[in-house]
Amino acid sequence: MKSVLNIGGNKDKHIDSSTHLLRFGILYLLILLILFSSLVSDKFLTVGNCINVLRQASMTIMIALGMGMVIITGGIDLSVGSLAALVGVFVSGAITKWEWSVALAILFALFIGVVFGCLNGFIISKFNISPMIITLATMSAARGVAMLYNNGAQIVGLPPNFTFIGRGYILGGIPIPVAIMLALALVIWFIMTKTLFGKYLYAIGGGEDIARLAGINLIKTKIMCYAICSLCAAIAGVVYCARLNMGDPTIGSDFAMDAIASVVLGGISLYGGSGKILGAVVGALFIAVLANALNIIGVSSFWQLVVKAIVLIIAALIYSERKN
Amino acid sequence: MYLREGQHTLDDSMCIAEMSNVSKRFGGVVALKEVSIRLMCGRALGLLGENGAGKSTLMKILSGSVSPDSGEMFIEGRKLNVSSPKIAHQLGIQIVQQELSLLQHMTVSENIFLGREIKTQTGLIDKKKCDAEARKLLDSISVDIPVSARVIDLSTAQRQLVEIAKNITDELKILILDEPTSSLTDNEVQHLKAILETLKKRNVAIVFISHKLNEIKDMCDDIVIMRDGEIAHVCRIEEIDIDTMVHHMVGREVEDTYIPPERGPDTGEIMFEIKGLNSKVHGEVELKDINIVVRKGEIVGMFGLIGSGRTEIVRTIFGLRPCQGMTLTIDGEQITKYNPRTMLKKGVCWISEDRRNEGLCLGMSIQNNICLPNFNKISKAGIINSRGYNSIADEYIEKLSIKTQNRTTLARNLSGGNQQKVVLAKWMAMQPKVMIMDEPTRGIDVGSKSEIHELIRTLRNNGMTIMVISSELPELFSIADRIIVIKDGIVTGETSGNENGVLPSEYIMKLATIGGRDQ
Repeated sequence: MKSVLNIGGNKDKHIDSSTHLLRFGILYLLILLILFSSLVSDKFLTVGNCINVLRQASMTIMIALGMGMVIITGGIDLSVGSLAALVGVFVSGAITKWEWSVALAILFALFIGVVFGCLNGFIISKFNISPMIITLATMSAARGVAMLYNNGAQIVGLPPNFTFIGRGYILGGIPIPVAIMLALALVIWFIMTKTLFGKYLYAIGGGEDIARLAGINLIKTKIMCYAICSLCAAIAGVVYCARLNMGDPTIGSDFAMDAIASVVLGGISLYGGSGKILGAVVGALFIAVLANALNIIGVSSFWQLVVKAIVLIIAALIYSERKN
Repeated sequence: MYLREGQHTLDDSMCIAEMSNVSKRFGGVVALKEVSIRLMCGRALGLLGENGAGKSTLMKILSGSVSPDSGEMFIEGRKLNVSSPKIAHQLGIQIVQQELSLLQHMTVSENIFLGREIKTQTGLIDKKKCDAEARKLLDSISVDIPVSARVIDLSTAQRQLVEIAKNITDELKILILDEPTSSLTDNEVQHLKAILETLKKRNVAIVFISHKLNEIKDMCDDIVIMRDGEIAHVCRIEEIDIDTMVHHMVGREVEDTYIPPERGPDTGEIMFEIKGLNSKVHGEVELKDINIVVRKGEIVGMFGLIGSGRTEIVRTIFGLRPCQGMTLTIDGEQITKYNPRTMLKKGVCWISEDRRNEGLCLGMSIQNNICLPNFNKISKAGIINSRGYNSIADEYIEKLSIKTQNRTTLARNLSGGNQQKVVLAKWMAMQPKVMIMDEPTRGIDVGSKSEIHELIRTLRNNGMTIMVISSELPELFSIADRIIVIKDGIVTGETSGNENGVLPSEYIMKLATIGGRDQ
């Protein structure tokens, strides 16, 4: 690289080091948290506990990955939790009531997710309406349909070859939800860093008019983005349903908020256009590890909610401070 | 005011503010090095310098939003220890920023009295009185905008005037204007000048930051030229000419700021033709029967005052504004669908005048900005080829000598001139047939400006067809082969120069201001 000795150059370097902290700060905090927790309790850093935390976090991470993409475009998707419930109810219904095969039922569930996301994306991009409003509406609709399907009752009696997805292990001890989460993270990371679709999402978040003038098809790109977000939520819904061993239409009311919190903790700006998608993974892990550490120390779950709030506010403060 | 010949500093009693040996560092960067200036009552000080010279930082310190690392400030002879925007406000120091700070959905009078509303005895806002006072204020600077108009319905120039009016209070002692004329046309600049004269009579000290040297020459009494965080030159306006100003700003002679182009051919294949464009949108200028022909390898300048419809023509052919009938032919092919994607496919790209919203994503790297419209070229099945991704960025960073450490630097951290080069780079990398440039050098320092002009000429010489929209006539004179003049949504005339090939400036100005089709 050529060495350019100008004032601007020095300034860049200075800014780079602070953006480095901004990007990876949460990762350092997570490492600190793990170190600290393992010093406080020897129960913390055991293989069993680590796997447990990962499994707990995996559903949130799956949803946060999709949410991260949407937030990078400057949008938001509040409907993910209701969709997860809807998908869970339908996959259970398809297996127990309609007696479909497990594979077909899962495919159907994922299909519901994609169609649902396309609908979100279509209305948002075609009519240029705030994603907050649209997904608030579809959130309500999805919950309603989930309740309607079995009059609000849970659907039980799922076969073991289905519940295996939520409860089983592969490769000698890795929980299947964790494996699915890792695979999904890899795919989404690849999409966001190596494909033009990923770059277009950043561009839309950075400035819709700029993206439009660069010849990007905003409608198509946004529909795809919301479809992937809903697909992630649908996958999480299937896994969660398998883990619970029933289709419960009431689950997931806090999924969207947990995912948004993870994304924000991970350094992805709610204004869109910046942030690394894996930040969402680290953010979700941070919340899960924090909850786990507090559990082990013996802090009540009510206090945990308060601690979570404090952490989130501090994170938001740090990010806004750095930006200024 | 009495001035003796050759006396540089004025009488001390006239000095309203003095900044002495002010220094400021941002991280490792020295923004200001021991800078001292004095502001005089009733005089306008022109503050000049290339982008990054420290003008804005100096003014931010004066207006309290940045605190200096060292140095002293005296306001009316009293030493100022700490400052904040609020204290500066109380001392009567007001700054009008480049970016306007008006609330779009509020009325002119609500904006003017924002935060200092006139209240009734019961503590409610006295709307009638606010409106009346606002009217009085606007009248005092002869601005005839209705006070009940909402800002969103005003033109950019009108907003600028409201912004200035907002800062004119009885306590006003120092008014700082940061590039107030970058979006104003010559007529409006004259209006601004009249306003400044009124203020000067009220003994207000004015600081005027601008890149437009002739306006500085026209409006200011004293000149301070800054370079690299230091004062390069101080003098009175009558002691300096524009060439000397440029000399002090850049520290080197820019050979011929404006080079007259070698005129291109008058006849040639038609590259780009608009026929019978009609477009009517509520609240915007109506375009009436626009016909424009651009030939291959030509630089056509489009001149018009703000609000004349220049930009709207481009917006219409890019489908960002509805049209009622037009025929658009590009390279012999008639276009049926109007949207940015089709235009790019046909090889027409547009550099918007609004760099921040339509030009470049400030939060993205230089590389991603350059590659944005070119990703399909450097990817297969949707996956980006990293070698192409890097090389295309490096190639254009070098080609346009964009000053940066590397390609991953965020666009936000570049100077205005370099940002504009990134915008140019991203479209150049597409290798379009036609480039439409809307105010390609707005708000850019002199050095970068001549570099960009040179670049435009090179592009033309390499066979590209270029249309440049500008409100600066000298700019068009220096690059355009032909100038089309727009006024009130009508093409009022065009000229490719007289028999000597010289473009007649008075004639063009007449077409743009008075109109009258050249028939």
